[in-house]
Amino acid sequence: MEPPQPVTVGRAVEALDLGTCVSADPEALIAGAQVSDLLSYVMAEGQRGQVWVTIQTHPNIVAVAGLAGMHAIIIAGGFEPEPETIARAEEEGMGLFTSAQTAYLLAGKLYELGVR
Amino acid sequence: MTERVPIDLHVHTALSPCASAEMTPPSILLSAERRRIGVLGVVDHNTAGNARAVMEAAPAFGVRVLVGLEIESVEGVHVLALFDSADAAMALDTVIGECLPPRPNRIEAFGEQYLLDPLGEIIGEDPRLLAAAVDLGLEAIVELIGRYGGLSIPAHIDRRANGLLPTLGFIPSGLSSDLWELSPHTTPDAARETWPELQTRALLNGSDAHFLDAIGCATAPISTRTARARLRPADWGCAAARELLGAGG
Repeated sequence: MEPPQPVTVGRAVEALDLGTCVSADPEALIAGAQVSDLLSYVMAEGQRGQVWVTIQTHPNIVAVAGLAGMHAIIIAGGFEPEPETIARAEEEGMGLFTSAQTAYLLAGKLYELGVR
Repeated sequence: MTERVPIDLHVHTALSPCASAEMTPPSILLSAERRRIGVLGVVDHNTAGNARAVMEAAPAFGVRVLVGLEIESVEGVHVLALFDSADAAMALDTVIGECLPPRPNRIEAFGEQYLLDPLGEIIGEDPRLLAAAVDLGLEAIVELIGRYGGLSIPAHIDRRANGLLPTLGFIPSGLSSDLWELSPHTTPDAARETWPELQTRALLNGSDAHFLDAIGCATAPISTRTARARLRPADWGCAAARELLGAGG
């Protein structure tokens, strides 16, 4: 089997049909992903270059993703980020995307694309 | 030396999902009195439906009582809302009731949710799903509690399930509570070691009792003078916070 090809943020946004609240560098390579709604877990386990799928919309998610050096947050389940969350993501240059699909489906699609 | 009494601001009645049926107003108050609790907080999940019964039963017991709700925010964080009158607690109860998801309780999962009279007799059941998050963010809830004249205390902030710190990672900058509750599983000193941001916060343990034996299993010490001070709940919380910080609690 072919080793998975590197996946860029731009390719993931297109393949998963994500809504864009705050864009991220489309050429950035995704180095893995987290799926969690406990922010303390992501603070401990989040890695540089990852994307994070969550249903939390609180402004704290931007700081947590920034702390880990992640590329982007994907808010699943049709939830919309709070205005303050969008404002902070713009300030920090953190990608912020949304999807009506469940976290489970988004994670499956990311894996299918080749994100490991 | 200042005389101190233990306070336990987090006890549930039989109205709460998963609380024991023995949690009636007179039984709770008697247990608290026997354990020399100076101030007792009685709440239920997302409702204050038994607040009136508790307040009517309270004068027969030697314990000061605050009543209210333990509200679950949309993020899954629990916050205590405490009042010195059942009327004030019920005013907020009405607002929170409108923010609950319109789903019925699942008795097989969460148990009966009993409405009680001051003598502890069952007068009804709350059919709603109380074990749920309301459609309000944490900051909005704390702001709402203040607007209704209540004292807000983020509950068991160290706990993985529904605690502020594990759920939201750190205390949001705009959150304006004076008191912060720890679960029985930690102490103010240990919590400050794990979360240095708690250095400047007034911390107090609470039992989160869902059955009688647990009442007072975790408390905070406070001077009898502050315990008895007849202040608005928010001002009382502020006075208690100053004292707890001064005492290293």
